[in-house]
Amino acid sequence: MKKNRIAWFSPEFTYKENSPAAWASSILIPILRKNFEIDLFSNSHQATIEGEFHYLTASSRHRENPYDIFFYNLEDRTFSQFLRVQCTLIPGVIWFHNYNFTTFGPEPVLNSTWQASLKKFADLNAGWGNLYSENPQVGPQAMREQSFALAALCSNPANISVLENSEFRICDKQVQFLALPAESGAIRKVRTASPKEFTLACCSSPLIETRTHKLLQALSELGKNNQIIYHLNWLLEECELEQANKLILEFNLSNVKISTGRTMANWREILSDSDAVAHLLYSAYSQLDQYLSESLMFGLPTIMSDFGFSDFLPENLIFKIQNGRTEVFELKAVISKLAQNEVALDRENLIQTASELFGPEIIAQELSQFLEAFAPKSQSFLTNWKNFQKEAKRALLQDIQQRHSGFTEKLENLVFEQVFKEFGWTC
Amino acid sequence: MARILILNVQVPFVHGGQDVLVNSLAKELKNREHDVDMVSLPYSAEPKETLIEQIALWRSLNLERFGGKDVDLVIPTKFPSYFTKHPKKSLWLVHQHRAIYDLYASAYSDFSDDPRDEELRNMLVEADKIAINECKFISGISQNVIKRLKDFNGITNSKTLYPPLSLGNKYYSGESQPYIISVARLCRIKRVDLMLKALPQIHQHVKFKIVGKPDEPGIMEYLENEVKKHHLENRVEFLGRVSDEELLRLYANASAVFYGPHNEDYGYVTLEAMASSKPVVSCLDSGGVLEFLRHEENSLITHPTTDALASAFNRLIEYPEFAQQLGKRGRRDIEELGLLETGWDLIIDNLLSPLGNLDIKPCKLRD
Repeated sequence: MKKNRIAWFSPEFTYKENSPAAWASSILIPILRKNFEIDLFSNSHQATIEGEFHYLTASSRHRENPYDIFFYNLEDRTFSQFLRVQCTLIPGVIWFHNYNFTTFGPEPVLNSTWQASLKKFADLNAGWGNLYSENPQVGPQAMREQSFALAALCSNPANISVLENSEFRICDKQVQFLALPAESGAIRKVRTASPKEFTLACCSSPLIETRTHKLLQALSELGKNNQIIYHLNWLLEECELEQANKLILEFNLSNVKISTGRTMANWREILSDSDAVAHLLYSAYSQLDQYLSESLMFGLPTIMSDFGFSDFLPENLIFKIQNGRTEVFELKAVISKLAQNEVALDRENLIQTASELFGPEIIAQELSQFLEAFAPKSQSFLTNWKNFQKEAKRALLQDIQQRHSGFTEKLENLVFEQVFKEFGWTC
Repeated sequence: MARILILNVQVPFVHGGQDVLVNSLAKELKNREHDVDMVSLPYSAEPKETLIEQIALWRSLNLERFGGKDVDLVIPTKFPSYFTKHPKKSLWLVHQHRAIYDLYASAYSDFSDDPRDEELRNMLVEADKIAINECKFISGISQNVIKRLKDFNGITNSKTLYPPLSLGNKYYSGESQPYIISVARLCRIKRVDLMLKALPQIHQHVKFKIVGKPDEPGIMEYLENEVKKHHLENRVEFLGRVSDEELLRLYANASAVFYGPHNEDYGYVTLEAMASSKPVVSCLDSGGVLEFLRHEENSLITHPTTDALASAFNRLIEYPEFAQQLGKRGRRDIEELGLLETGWDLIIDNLLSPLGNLDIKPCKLRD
């Protein structure tokens, strides 16, 4: 049977430590290639895997050998901005790793005619957007991107309701949760707990949004109890060091071990030397990336903010903290209980659940089933879209023709008609 | 002797590296006793739909025969001059229409996500492939330009031919005075504004002299506003276009040269600064410029941020011996690369290669 062809857009794999989209692509593509013919499109001219091409070649490849599905792995990273442009040029399935963008995106996104294009696609009698007027975007939400999604997947379940209730849409779309996969085959050993010492792991930046200041405050206050020594293993990027050190000084902490280079290998090393882990957030719409999946796969007690992704995880496997006035108090209580071994955590159960949630084979199978089922709808849509593109070309050529309509017929024939024929600039 | 036409794309009222390149090429070909003339058509990138018309105009020109004699070779230089039809096209590419390639999806491209723009982009890319592949010889003015041809058009049989400096051995070095100089057309992609924003962090006695004319609507107002905003009226001087002699003098007496455009094709300014034994400060994403620069050897290369630029310039101001050392090394590099007086023979031999074994006369003595 002929395999469905997928044009898969993702940031380059070299960004995978800092990009949930590249991370997920690097794990899933090799598995999915058993069932699909996948071409990877990135913003690089140097292929890191076989079948990787620059994204600007996607439309010509599609013309030569059509794809059945366009798949976009979309996130809020500067190096991923090309995806935001591309995902409206040929609509497809979008896997959202963020819905709100901290960066407003490149020029074509900032000044897009997407609403007019959407109307035009729905009704070919409608007018085109004005290319030369400013079309300022209303905000950082991915309204434009989700409107062009034929189907939406989200790695953060908090985004499901937003996507389901979107105001603009190119078609009725299915919205579904799909978690970020963890790597298979990684060695995940945890240490034996010591009754006198307790080490917490954290990989958040020192920004106020990540609530690390609350965590440091809790540890500082717990440190006044001399029975147990509390440690923090903190994984940071080099550029975050200055701010992190300021915070450590502010809370007068002496037992903080900082490691730099936020990579999965470094995170695993830290996890294997820790007793528990904290993943705190400030908003349901922010993202914990692949580092959360890895913590859960380790089976370590995991402290999380009580919203967003944690809503999706079984209550008995994680420790939830409310943001706000009681946050430090709650953190202290949980950390203290864990340190004094007052809570029993079924580690085997946690690892089992995490494997079911984040196991790459399971996620690949889920995605595979989704894509197989979605392919006929996508194929039919892409046929309509091709007609729409033809209409766009016709409008463009008409516009060009109108510009030189003042020329004499002979000159027009000499200058334009022959050249247009030669380059295939006809409808 | 061959009859050669250089194909030039001229943006009326704008002068830059392109003019220097075609005029120098014409002069050097004439020095070798070739019959040379220039065909120029005006060019405008706006509105973008007119690019199609401009391609059509170049394409419809018949340049094969004039005055009863054949034109042996045409040398197109810049988009869309290479669309011309001629059995012997020898391309020396300055750049393609970058808004559809490396600048696409950036603030420097006017191509939006509208399907009509996407169709236009596809049409231009496909046409580019056809027209460039017709050339009997393909070269570009830098590795950066050649890499774009390979990356975006799959063209691999091309060669880099660096243009030598037009003022040859006239560059000299004088006593450094406390000013930094920028030489560039004033447009966003040259990022002179970045330097203006960095200036408040640079030692207060250092001035900033800007050579170049505005090349974008509103750019002058924007830059002047930046000057006012940062209270730099006494430190910044807009000099406009200056004479060759004045330019040589400005380079010679500068403390350092700023040249940090975004992904530049080639960048004469870098080479001019090096020829004047002056240290250049450039940026990590400045493209072709970086083919000549080595951080802390003949230049300082920084992130394109105001902090990084300010810190680099302060380092040069605080350690003049270090600045001098970088400048001297730059001059030596430029001499070794043969980009001062020599270098044209190689370029002309290559560009004329589609003509086969011509009885090319040696170069006449230069004036």
